[in-house]
Amino acid sequence: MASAPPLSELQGWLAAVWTTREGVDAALKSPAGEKARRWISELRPPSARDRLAVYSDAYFLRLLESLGSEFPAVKRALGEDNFRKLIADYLSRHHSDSPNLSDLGSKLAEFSAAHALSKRFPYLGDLCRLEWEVLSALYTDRLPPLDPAVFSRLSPADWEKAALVFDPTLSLLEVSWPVDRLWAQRSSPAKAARCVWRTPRPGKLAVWRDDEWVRVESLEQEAFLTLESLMRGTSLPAACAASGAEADELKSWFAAWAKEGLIKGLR
Amino acid sequence: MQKRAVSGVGLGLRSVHYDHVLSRRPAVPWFEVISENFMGPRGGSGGRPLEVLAKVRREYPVALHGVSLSIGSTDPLDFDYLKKLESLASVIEPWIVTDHLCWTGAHGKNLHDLLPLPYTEEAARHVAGRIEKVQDAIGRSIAIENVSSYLSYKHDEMAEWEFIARIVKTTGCGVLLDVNNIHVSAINHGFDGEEYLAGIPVAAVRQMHLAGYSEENGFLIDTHDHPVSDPVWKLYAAAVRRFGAVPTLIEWDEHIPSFARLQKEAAKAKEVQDGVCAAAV
Ligand SMILES: [Fe+2]
Repeated sequence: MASAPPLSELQGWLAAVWTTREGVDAALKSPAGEKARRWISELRPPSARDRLAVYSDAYFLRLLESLGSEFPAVKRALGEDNFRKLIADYLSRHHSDSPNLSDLGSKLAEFSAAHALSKRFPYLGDLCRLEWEVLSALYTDRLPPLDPAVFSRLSPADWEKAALVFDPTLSLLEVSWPVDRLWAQRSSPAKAARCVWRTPRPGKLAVWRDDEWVRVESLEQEAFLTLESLMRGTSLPAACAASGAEADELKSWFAAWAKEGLIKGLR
Repeated sequence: MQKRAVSGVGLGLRSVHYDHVLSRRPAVPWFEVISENFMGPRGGSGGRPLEVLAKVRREYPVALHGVSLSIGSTDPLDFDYLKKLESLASVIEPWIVTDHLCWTGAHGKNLHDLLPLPYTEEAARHVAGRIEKVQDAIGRSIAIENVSSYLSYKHDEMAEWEFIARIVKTTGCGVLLDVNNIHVSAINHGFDGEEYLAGIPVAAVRQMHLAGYSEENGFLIDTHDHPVSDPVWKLYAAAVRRFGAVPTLIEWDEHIPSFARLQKEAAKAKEVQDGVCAAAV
């Protein structure tokens, strides 16, 4: 018998076999497959092929299931078969290189937007982007609640320069399709999912996490732009002046943002 | 957060039972969680899952059980991952940190599976060296778990239990003995589960796992979706006779039943422990 392969080579051959999209039989015809098979014990049935197949079959199903649980609205909107096709294509281009399975979907939005399925489902890229933001909000630590006393401690001169601190889970998203509606329906039966909008309906979304879970809300254009400007660090007076909104309107935005726990302090 | 001595039969904490555990505070001696579920993706952190775990930890001891250490891979150790593990452990103060004796990927590809190692001198040296580096990096000792496997290698130089014993001897790490995995691999490869137990150093065993398997195409598959089977209960009794009533966990990760059903399975394991210990007295 030839001398045993170094561990690194053996692992390289096996990883190539188990991640072959066409399955174990195609993989075993490749040079890596032929080499790997030679080192699998066949002292008793099942065959080396069947033993390798256990791992090949499990590989795709595991990653498909994981992405399905992290992109439930995408899965529901596309249906099982299209979702499976999208993920098979995605995994052919992007293998996991992270110890955390949650990283696997990081390029799905970009990939989906350019995928053939986005012709039939033009909102696909937007919906993936939204679900990725939701996942990111889920795995971001929140700041402690706002202490209202910080406002009363400010001198008039400080007010001129004061900027708001927002919760790190908050992100803003501009979308071409109202995908927040698809996200809201992610857990309801799939038969209602076939909504197709014929023309884009641009929208502005805010994503953040509250005490319970991740929230997705649609924002009016002016509120979105003001919030975006404040999040970039623009001072309160400057952002308010630039918004062009009436004082009452500004007050109602700030009250809502404070109530939802988006504002966490002053800088 | 008080440190308590851990014993008895714990349960895996899964998200479907978060509300029940936090609102009802069921009588469970400790919980085990999957470490990676509380680390977040790159650039992320524990977020909401860690908020929940921190609340659970105020009431119960917790074991951190990882699936991505990839201790047997020939890729370099991932020190970002180890830093996250160390930081999670410093927040949660687990009673034990465990992961699997396997590799999960190589050459930059992570397969997210518990892949079997060849049981060779080369692999034993490789794994032992990495365990020492991991223990240094996280500042704690770890215990390694035997995995279920569906293939073995022609160039194996020793039995799985000899491989484990060798690594324990070199590194001083602990063993998380999965009794179901021993049975699954024993059937898949044709060895004797009791001979396996006899080869594991008694003092190294810090925790045990029990779970259910499925049968598919002539294999036993470690699916964690069934009650513990009769042959595994029998092997568990033999394990308790050899290693004592070490803390044991019921793993049930698919088709997860009600919390009450999990508690019933845990009570059965406790009965086995108590029965063996009473007989010994
Ligand atoms: Fe286990």
